[in-house]
Amino acid sequence: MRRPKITEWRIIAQTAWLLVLSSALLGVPYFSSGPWTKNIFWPNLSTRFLIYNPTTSFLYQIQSRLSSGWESYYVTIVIPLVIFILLVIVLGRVWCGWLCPMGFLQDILLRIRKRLGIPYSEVSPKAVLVLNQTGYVILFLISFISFAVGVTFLGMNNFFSRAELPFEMVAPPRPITIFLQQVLGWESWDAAIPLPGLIIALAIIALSFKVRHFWCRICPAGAMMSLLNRKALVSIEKDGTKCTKCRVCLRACPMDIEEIYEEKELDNVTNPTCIHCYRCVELCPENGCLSVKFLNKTLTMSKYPYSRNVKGVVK
Amino acid sequence: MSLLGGKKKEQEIDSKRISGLAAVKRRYVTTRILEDTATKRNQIISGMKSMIEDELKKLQSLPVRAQSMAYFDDIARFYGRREKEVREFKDSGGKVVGSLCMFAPNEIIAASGALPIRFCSGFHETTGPANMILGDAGLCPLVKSTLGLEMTDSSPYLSMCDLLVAPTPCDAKLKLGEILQDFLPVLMLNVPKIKAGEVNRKQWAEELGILMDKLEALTGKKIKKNDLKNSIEIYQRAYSAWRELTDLRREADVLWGRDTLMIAQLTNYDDIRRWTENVHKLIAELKKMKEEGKSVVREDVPRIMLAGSPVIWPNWKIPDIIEESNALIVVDELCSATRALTNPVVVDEYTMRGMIDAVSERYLYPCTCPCFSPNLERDDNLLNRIKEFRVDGVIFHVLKGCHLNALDATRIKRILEEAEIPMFTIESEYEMGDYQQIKLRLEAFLEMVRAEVVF
Repeated sequence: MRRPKITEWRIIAQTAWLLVLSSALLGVPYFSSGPWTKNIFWPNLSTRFLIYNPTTSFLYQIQSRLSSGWESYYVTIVIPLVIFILLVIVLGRVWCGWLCPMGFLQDILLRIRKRLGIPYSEVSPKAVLVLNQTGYVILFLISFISFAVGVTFLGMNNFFSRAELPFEMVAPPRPITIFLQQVLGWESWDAAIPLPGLIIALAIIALSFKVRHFWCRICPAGAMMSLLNRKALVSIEKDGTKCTKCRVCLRACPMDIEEIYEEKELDNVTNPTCIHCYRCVELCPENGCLSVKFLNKTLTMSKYPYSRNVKGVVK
Repeated sequence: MSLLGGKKKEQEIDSKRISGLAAVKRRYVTTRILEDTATKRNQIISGMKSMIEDELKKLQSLPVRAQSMAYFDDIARFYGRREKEVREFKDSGGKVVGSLCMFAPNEIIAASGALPIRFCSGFHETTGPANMILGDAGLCPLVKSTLGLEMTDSSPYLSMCDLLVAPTPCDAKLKLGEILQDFLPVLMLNVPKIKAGEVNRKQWAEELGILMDKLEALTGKKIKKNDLKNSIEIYQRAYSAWRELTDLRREADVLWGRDTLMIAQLTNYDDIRRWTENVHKLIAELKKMKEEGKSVVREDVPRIMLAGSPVIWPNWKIPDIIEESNALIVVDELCSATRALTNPVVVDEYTMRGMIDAVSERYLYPCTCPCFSPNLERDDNLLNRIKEFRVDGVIFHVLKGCHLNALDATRIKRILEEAEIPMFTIESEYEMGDYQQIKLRLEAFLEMVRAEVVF
């Protein structure tokens, strides 16, 4: 029997998580009103506008709690922050590659493009760096605007009604989610979609079709997780002595991470921008050169195709 | 298919890149020289045939030899069965595309429907005629021998060749490609000598794009996505079979190093699918031998790694000396064997661009040819293989005139000294003149290694 490849496991996980998020499909439409799930706040990008959503993302918490004003001394942000750090320490950016619906959407676009035989647009190493920094800029703007409209002394609280949740006005998940819900008949067709958000969503869909995982490169939630990615309990390890520098890992990487190819000394090669899709581990042809580890326990490792039984390579 | 430039630019490159016998006046090889060599032709061919037969006799008399080797012995006879098959293929309208180095991607040549054949020559008979024109006696004997093959018209495959792909890893190969333009249409491929940087990667992919255009013009058929995919998969199977054989040799000494090197060499001109099938047959037989506890040598025999310049069939001088002095070549690091077959083409996306990138990167990046700088991967690969195959000593073979390998040997020797692995650098020619001297020196080295193994 052919072993399911990592990419296939990933699609299963992404689908399952999407079902949990839209718990209506599981027959529990009011799961969202449950007592404890509301306080989990998952770390990856999402939107408040998913109707039967059991909880919201940490990014949404930043916006709503910072814009609530000075009076609370922002103590309310502490618990979501602690939960965020714990979840990211455990799973790193596995949240991006295995669970995030936005990542799933980009994977679907990537597979459609592959099926159509259209090559992806390469991103130059310089552009990769610039895009990776963009996430932090967006994150700063979100935090600053949320803070500014919440306090009086900056004179921006007049915009409160318009920019209470600044990121929700421009974030691509909102229009996409609302549209899907309208198609499913969960929402009426005159639900409000902000125009900037709609334009950005369409642009991101078009870009992600041609550039591999374009949104993940500039995602503010991803940028936050990047800070803890290398410290996470789940990691990609490399045995530098087994590496033949064949460059397969770099070519396969949807985030164009050079570290996995260049590194020969360090064991942990989990780059901050790595979304843990493990395409490199799946394709690396050297036995045991790359491996996925969780708390020093090896979950999977690279194998030469003949022992892996990849399609087209007979045993 | 061009990756960077437009159609017009492409044609310009093409017209500059390729020239044929009819188009260009002979610049190196004059008719008078050819007349001289033509009289020697029969003598040379019979010399080559007896060289192969002598070598095969030696191999066939080896104790504990798998019966499946019979197929490889048959194909190893250069003339005969395979020559007839290629001629039939050629007569039925097929195109034969030769290449001078392992940098030429067989996957792409096979995808066009042409038959890829590699022309590195191991015959010492033909180095003489090449010396007549070169004026450089110190040039690499491999290059001289290959040139001599064409000058004396003694290789049946070269005479059937429609296009020759000549990558330019070293000076000798560069000029070989240039001189062979006197006889054949030659497409030179510019190999980047420094791997780092996007420019070099794109340049190499672009070179292969030019090769594809040329092949399409030759066969009159466009290379489609499925053609390339099929040919990549055929070669993937061949590489897997080789890897399985190597893994088996790591576990048990059931195959002589000389036989292994010969099997690898036959990929140069054999039908790759039939070769793969027969390697699998051999593996099955060897596994049985392993279960029966058979071994080709005694246990305390020194385990040797052969590294350095290519050793081309039937120039089995060095492997013969090593294994006749009671040692076993357990693994090699030659571009004529392991290095040519170890790395598979790993395709991420089966789009046309994705496949060309995969092929081009497979031939450039994991390659540890000494023509690259820096060539640190070679050190790591050597150390890794020494560990995996429990190697007792390394024999680094340098063909006379191969400066690149001679210089790499200096560096590698220092690294192996640190790892406390004895290494011996041996320089050799194709002619048998230095046989006794090499034998004496290698035996002394092997005796030293044996002393370390036993005590």
